[in-house]
Amino acid sequence: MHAEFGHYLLYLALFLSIALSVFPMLGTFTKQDVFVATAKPLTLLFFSALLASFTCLAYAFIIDDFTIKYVAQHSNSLLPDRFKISAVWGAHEGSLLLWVLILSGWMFAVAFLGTNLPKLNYARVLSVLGMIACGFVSFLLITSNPFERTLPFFPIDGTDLNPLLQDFGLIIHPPMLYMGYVGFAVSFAFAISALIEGEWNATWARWTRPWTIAAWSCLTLGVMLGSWWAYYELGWGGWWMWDPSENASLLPWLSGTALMHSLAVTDKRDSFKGWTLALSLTTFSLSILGTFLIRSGTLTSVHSFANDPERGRFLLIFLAIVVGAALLLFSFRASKVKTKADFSETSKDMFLLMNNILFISLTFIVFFGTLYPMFAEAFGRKLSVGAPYFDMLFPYPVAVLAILVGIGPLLNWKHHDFSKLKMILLKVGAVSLVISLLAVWFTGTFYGWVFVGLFLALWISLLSLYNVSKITRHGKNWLDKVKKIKAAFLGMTIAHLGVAVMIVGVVMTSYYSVEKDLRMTVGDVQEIGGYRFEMLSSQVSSKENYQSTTVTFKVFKDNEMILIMKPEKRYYLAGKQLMTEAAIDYTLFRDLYLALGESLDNAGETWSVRIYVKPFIRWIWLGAIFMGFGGIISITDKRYKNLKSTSNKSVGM
Amino acid sequence: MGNESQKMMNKLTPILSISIFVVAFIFFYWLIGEDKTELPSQLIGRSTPAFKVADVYDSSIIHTEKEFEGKIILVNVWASWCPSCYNEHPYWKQHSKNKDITLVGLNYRDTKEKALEFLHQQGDFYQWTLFDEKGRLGIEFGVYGAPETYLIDNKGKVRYRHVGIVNTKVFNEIILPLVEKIKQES
Amino acid sequence: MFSFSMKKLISILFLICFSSISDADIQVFDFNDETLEKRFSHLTVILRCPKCQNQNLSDSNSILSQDLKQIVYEKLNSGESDKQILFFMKQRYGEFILFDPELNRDNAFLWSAPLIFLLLILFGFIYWYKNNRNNFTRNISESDNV
Repeated sequence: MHAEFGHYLLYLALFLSIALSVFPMLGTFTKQDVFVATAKPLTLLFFSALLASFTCLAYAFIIDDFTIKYVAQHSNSLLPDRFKISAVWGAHEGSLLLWVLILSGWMFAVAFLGTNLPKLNYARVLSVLGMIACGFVSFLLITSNPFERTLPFFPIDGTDLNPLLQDFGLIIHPPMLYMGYVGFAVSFAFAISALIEGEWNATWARWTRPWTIAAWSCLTLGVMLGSWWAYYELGWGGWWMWDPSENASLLPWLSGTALMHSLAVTDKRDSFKGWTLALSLTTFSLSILGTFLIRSGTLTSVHSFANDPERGRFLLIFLAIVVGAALLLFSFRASKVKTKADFSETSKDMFLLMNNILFISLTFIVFFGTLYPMFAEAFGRKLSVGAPYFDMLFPYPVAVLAILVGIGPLLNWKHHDFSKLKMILLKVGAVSLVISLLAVWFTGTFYGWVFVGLFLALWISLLSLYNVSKITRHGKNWLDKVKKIKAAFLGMTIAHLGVAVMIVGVVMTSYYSVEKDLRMTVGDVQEIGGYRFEMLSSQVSSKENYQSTTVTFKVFKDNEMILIMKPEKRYYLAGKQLMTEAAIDYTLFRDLYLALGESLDNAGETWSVRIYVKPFIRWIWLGAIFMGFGGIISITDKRYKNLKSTSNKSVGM
Repeated sequence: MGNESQKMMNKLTPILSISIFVVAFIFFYWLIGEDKTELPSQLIGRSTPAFKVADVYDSSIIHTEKEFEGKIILVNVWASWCPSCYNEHPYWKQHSKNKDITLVGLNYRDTKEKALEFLHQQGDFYQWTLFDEKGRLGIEFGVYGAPETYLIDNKGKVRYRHVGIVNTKVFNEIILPLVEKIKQES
Repeated sequence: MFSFSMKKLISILFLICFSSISDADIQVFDFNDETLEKRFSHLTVILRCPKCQNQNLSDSNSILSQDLKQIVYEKLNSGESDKQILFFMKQRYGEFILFDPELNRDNAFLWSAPLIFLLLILFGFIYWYKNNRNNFTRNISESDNV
């Protein structure tokens, strides 16, 4: 019954979302309170219906209901419980249900936390979200029903969840990623609502800002989790491969970062409105574009879901409607927006404008490089655009941005007198230059980008700390000083420091990693990257749903044994698949990575082995964590709580 | 900016964006149906690569591309580890009877025992079979999977590559018309 | 749970499974020269596996990738240049096999488009700024750092 119930709930959700799309919006035009007031209860019911539906599917997985096709294809009775639950979103249909559930969650949050919005805006935003939700629920029901039955002939046991996915990463990466992807629907809805109303000012920006930052933080963490997961699970030590699916998640992030910064200007200076509106519309459109590219089969990727042209066409039409509506609204309403150039070349406004331009360029690079092979195919060429292309182009705008990140937060709005700042910048520049030169000299080999990266990281960090000292300068004592640091400022500083940390991680790992593929037998010793690896022994054992061969290694540094590492080869019984479980030892300053290749003898004592020493790689994800948490901290700032003062207009104006 | 050019810009922008939008939509729609895994052959219009490969039955017999001269050749890439090849093989029984073509097998990356067993059990319809144990000849042809079939004309030029099973439909609708064309050219 | 001999039997069966699996995992190539080794790492990362779902030769386990890696290894040891090796691959599998698009006329647009894009926006902005800057003052406003 749970499958039919879950399915029925989806239909219910569909009707609720249609009602939500129509009635509140209608109410805002006819000014009828009755219709406007339906927004909150409808959203509540919509969320509940989806939550219940999702629970039905999760239940089906837990009880091993293989009469449901989706469960039979992606689960198995031997699968550990925690993976049975995360298997719910392990493939297309279930992950889409999760997507829609998360959308309803955001809508629920807006419904409850946005009650101090003017009633009409509130209703409009929820209606627009309802329309988006309607599109996705229809997509689910028409092309991707997770509750389809295998009856009358059902399998005794399921096919099993792909062993690559039987991992902690599956539990956290997709939910967090979707939180981000979907979260930008809120700023999209706010933008559409503003366009419909014809009013977009600083107040609108102030309402949207916390939602946008929240979505951005989630997306930052989601992408970071994906990178980290690919690194330790896929077995190759790479943290970013510029795979089309990775790019699909990066596009809304880049656009979203520009949006988040542009909103700050609209909030503070009632300016850049065209930019902010356009970026709001673009970011969520890129989210849907990403969803389309990955699930339609148009991309060749290690990460693609099963290809189905029907799904692709549906998503494309949905994307066209969303983008088309946004384009039309924007061109008819916003084209009359004229931004005044009421700031000087040396102002925070100018720097944020440059920030917008650079992030848009980065978005273009990734967009263009990812889609170019497809365009070329229409003209008969079959070519590949891979990591070398992106690695060549991406760093340059980032480097310029890093310079701006250091200076921007120190500037005043409208105009800043550089005469005093110049000295500080020169001093910090000189110090950064010297330290980075020393650091590079210390490593022995000079790599241009390492030097530049270290310089930029120091530049950002020192200037951020200087900014903190500037803000707290007039505090009479420690407590007073700390009080001067507002949440928004703290969040920004932490996030920017995260950028610095990440840059260090990227350049150090990219240039100083050591990778070797070797033949080793029990008793062999190898020296790699300053560490000594000794292969001790090999054992076979049986676990819940797999058999494992574990090879034990002793690791020495400077003749002292520092640890034992145990890479594994696992044979998953249900799906008959062989998996590599790398042994990773990590500290703040380096990762040691050991993976088994193939057994080169019958006793299992000689193996091809891959050994990596990767310096500073954790800094990449640490930096992203800083960024994500910086965002979350800045949302807690009091300025977003004072929005109650904006009038709570009733409908009868 | 003058008022005239401003007005033109205002009219142009929506037209431009709408046309880009429409083109993009059509493009993506078309893209959805396309087979992403298919690679075009680099050999089309070029000569057969030169080679020296042993015969699958008798390793003292060395085959070269010179044996292709003056004949219309179908090189069929197959292996005992390729499931589709078992599906395809029975079709060759019929197709190899065609007087205009010479069917040559290219056993790709296989062991001799398994290859011989395949031919013994499924039947050998090839005029001769090249034993490409290391797969190097396959790489010269740009082989990236099995089965694949190459049509080479009587002047040694590669005219067509088929990726996948050559069933009766493919043979009649694609291969035979090309063979006719080649015959007319001579 | 299992007796000693049973465990040994399982492990042998287990390993036989491993050795006969045709998609071998990590291949070992012995290099005497560190420069050659570096070039090998580089080339196998920028060459694409022709039949995989977007993997380079280095990451791919497929038979074809193994063979192609072997060829790269042999050619490096026989003194061929990177350019020659890449050309060899391109001749047989097309430009698809190159993750690093070549710098030629066909790819001129690919490589220059991002720069053109950036310049267009930049110039567009400068143009707009120059035309609209008459309405601001250079007065120092109160500092506002967030």
